Amino acid sequence: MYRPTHRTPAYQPQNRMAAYENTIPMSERSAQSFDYFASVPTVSSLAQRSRSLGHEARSRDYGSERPNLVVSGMKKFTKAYFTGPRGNLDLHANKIVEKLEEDKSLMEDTPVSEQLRKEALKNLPQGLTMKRCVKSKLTKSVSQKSKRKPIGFWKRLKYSINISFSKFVASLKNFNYFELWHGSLKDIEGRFGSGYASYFKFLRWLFVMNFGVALLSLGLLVVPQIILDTSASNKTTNTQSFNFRNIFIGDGFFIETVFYYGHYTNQFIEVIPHLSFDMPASYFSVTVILYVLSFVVLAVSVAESYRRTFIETEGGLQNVYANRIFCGWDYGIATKEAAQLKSSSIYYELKELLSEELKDVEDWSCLVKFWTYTIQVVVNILVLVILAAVGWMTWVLMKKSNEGEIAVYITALVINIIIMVFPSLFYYISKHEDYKNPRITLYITLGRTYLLGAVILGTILAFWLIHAEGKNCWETLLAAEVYRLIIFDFLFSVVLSVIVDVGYFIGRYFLNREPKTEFNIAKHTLQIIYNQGLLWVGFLYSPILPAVVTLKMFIIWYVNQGCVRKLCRPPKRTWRAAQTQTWFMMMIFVSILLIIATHGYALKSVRTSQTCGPFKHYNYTYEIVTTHIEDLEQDLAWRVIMNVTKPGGLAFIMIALGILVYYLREHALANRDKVKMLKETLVWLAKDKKFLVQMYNDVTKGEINPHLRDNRFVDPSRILPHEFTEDVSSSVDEDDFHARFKKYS
Amino acid sequence: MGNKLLTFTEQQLENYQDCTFFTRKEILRRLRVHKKFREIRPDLVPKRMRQNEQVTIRVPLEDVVEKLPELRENPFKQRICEVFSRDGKGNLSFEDILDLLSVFSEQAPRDIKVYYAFKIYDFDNDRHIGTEDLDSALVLLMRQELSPEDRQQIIEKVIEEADVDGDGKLSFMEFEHVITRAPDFLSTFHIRI
Repeated sequence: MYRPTHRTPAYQPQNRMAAYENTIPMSERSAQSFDYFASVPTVSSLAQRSRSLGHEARSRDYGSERPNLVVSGMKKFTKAYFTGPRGNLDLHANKIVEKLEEDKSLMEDTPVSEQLRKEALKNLPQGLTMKRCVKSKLTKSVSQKSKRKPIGFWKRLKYSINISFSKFVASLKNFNYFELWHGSLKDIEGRFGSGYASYFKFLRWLFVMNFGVALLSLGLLVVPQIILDTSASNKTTNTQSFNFRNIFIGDGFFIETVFYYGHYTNQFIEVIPHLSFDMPASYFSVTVILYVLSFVVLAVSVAESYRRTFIETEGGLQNVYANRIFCGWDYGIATKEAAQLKSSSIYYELKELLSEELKDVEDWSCLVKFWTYTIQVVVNILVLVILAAVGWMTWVLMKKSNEGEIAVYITALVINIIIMVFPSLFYYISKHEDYKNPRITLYITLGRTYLLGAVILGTILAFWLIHAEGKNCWETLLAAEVYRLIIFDFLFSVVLSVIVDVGYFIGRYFLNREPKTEFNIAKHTLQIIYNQGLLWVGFLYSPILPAVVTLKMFIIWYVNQGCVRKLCRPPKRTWRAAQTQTWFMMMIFVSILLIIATHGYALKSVRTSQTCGPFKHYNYTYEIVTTHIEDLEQDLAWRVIMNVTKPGGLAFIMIALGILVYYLREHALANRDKVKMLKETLVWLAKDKKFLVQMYNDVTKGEINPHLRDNRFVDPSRILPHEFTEDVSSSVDEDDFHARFKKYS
Repeated sequence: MGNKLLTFTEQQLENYQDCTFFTRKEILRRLRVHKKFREIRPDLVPKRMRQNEQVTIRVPLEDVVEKLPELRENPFKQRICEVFSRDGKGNLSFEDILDLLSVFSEQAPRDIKVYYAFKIYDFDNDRHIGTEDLDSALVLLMRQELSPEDRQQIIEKVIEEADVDGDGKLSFMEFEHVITRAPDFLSTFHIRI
């Protein structure tokens, strides 16, 4: 009657929720008792999942795809492990090896099972000495048992390919960029906690991605053009003179350099005879491929992050008290003052929770609720109006910016002032809105700030794409605009804000108040996201932009690091890094999605300028693809793609995706209900168990199990029918037994 | 690599790579675990350790918790050392420290971390986290700022939230169930070397 219920087929999660599947508690999975003391049967399920190789890569996976091998920490092992002499080590290693040998797929002499053995070893929750013992015994027994059958040629080939692939992936991991700025990250984490460190990790990740993009675009686009420029046969002089101002405005001298689209030739570059370089094709393919690569990388990261934060944890924080105690302490903290602050922050949070218990009882009266809701609605409408006004003003500025030098300055200045000031305004507004949860306030402010950036970028893009017809070389002008914005943003948000922060610091110091403030993680992360958005908007028309942005990020890293170290103190409230990270990733993902869509539209339907750029002999940029691939127009795949990307096709795809998302969400909700039901079942089963143990004790009148009269004790609280046949020697020590037994007698 | 290659033989390195979550490069270059281990008690630990010495030479608990910078400010440092030491008293050998760092590294999967977290919070080693365990944990975390009544209340709330089978304490499964739903566990249960 204690057989645990297996998963009923009706609720079998699909493969897509496979990660979710593995967080169902062990009692559901193991075929044996409810016990923590179950043996290692799940190695076989590990083997099932591990059919494909490349597993070194999996070790980064945070255990979500591994079945629960952990439970080989059997009581008899660990207890004797701690207290016994060395002889016991051998004994227990033998026991573990026996259990592992039960799984046939681990015992073969192939490279596949070698990988599986390594995985199983790593997951064994034993000490290092034990593991080495187990490993040597395992290899010995494997080599004894292996029947040397000759493997066929194809199998050998397959194995060697798999092994070299996984070695390659492992070497990539070795090259991993965790080395970059590792020391400073560790220092920040130790002194300020993992909240600030999450911002810097995000910055580092984006920096590495931009660096890769910059390298490729410099190497494949800028360098050939420079080679062409400097070769004797094609010397063109720059018609404009260099002015220092031009660095900031990106105008003038720079218009006719490799900075912008306009300067790139549409010819074949043939500096070295017989080695021609097709510039237009290269320009088109490099930019498109880099966009697609960035998109794919981001999509994968967002999916992984979302899965880790939301699916595996069933939608976020519950069990608030248990979480605070067990996950509250940040093990990376290494300084006394950070530790002090952390423990006081946990203290305040717990106190807050306790006091909220009392507050929760009082319900808001109807009038108060109504008033609050009205205020929220009104404020939201107000914010939308503000955003629309910002968009309109940007439009007007763009129109005016073509008339004269000063106008150009003004445009960039105004936009940057808006971006600096409005987030604080939003934050101030949201404080008065009285949301129930401070997290919701944070998310709403983040959302509004993000929308602000999106509106500005969108207006700029829209303006240029619409007015493309009239202008000469509009791509260069658009790229120059973006470059200007990037430089001004650098001046404002890095240089100016450092000055302001230092000023505040000194001011508060003289006013005898606490000079160190908290580092505003949200604001800085949004700044990076805005930056990244600018880069993607401009990259199509300015191959040198990634290098500029990479340099800017490099400077930002060191400036922010200095600021944090000298001017900031650790945060009072715990910054829930995991969930906000997911939101940031999603924001960035949505940005690149929208920007790629807009650029796709530009490539397809906006006429290129006929006087400059690598596509000046085409009408539309995408024609380069059609002219290079013969008879493309007749090709079925091409026609399918062209039809699908029409508005009707896209709408259909959107609707289908929406339906899919709705279905998955309903599935997740159904699973949640099932979990609730199962929890209640567990409680009832536990009550049953107690009742039956009581009955058993009454029947045997407190006697030790009459079957085993040779002094082998059985823990009465663990009596399950099949356990009579198992080896129960040395599983319970005497004091333990008496202590438990007393409870039921 | 030079000098560092001499501290471990090839065989040892391969063993470590197979049994921990570190890559070969990390063990050799970045971690400098051996150096740290030496710094704790230079008189006990030789420059080059042979096979046996990696297991037999132990550094006493008091020195570890004082001198290992990653553990110095941790309220659970004593308990961590006890869990990872072979004799249960907290005296760590080189392999124990390597084990410790491997479990706390970023590549260790969630299951292993949960397992060791449970062992750490189970102060009296009875395979359950009872009210006394929770009390000790709270005292260590708060450095005695909470009043006993507050502590009692918090403990009751925790048991209420997490205890499923109604025995008044948390078994491993219940603990695992709570922890797997905490999104922050992986990022906090992590020591960067």
